Amino acid sequence: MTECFSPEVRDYLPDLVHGRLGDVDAATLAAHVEACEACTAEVALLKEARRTAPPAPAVSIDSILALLPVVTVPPHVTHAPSRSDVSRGRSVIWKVLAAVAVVITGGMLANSVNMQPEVAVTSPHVPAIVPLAQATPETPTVAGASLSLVAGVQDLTDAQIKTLLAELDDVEAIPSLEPDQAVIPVVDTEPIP
Amino acid sequence: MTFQNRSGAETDRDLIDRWLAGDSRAATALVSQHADALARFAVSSGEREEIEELVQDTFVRAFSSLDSFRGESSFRTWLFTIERRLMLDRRRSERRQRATVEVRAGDSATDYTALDALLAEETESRVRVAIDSLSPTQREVFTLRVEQGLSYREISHVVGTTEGAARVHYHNAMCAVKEFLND
Repeated sequence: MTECFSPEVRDYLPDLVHGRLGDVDAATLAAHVEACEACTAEVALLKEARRTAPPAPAVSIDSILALLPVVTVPPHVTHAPSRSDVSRGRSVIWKVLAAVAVVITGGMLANSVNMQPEVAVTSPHVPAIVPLAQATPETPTVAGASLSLVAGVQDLTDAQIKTLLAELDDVEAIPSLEPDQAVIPVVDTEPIP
Repeated sequence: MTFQNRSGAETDRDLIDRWLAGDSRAATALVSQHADALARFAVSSGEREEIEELVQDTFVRAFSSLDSFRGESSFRTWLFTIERRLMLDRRRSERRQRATVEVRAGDSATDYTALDALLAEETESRVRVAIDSLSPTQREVFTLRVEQGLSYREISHVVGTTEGAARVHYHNAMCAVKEFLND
């Protein structure tokens, strides 16, 4: 058998056998092997060595994956908002809107009282708030009502304040869109034997 | 004359980045791609028992320190390096254990080795016998080059030597195999 006239080529014969060379390089090297008796014999030897490699036992991928460490997610990675997050966000928005609506309604009410003094705000339990100029001895008046409602509240009796607060509690400016939580009573049952 | 090798390192790099970002499916792809090669390398290096445990340990070690993988070598080369260290640790441990029972089991071990060699000659081709007769380092380099298709640079990473030394080991191994076959 003649020796190979370019021995450095033999370095790449295992790459040729494994298909690790690019198409052009593989074609060049294959042409050389075809013309070189020594390289042809060596390629045959390499293929035989690969073919007779001892068989490896099958490895279970799942058993390996079960042993791997848990994936750690970096803290900067954001996650999609959950349903509870969305619900909490909506609830806060509605609370803010309700507060704004109460303030605006209160302001409009105060203005209407000032603009139309002949129409008294009446309540079966609370004395009407009328300007001092129109107050009569029969009509219970609130001192300073023409200035502000807050000043008038200071002069109410304890019973009147309680009544007023009870009525305010019944007023809901904006109805809640969220359903009330269902309360399921816990009933004592017989223990399961 | 030089030839360019194809490289699959980019795909592995992508999978590693995905796994580090929290995509556990990337681990499945990485393990599936390299588990068989690790098992073959272990068998070719002379391991006969608990191959699956060895491959498992290799992956566990690799994934536990995956954030330190810098990509200077391919992922498969890195796995081979880890597996080789585990095999060396295992052999050291076995040598220590063997030394403690050598007096009792010495003769029977010699008988088994002779019988094993006889069976090997009958069942395996002469090429396999020639490879098995190489020195441990030559066989390791020859196996990585011929059976796994690693480059000399990759072999130098796995074995812990220089690229030139890996090349010399391979050529010496090839000469020894040819001599064995010509005898």
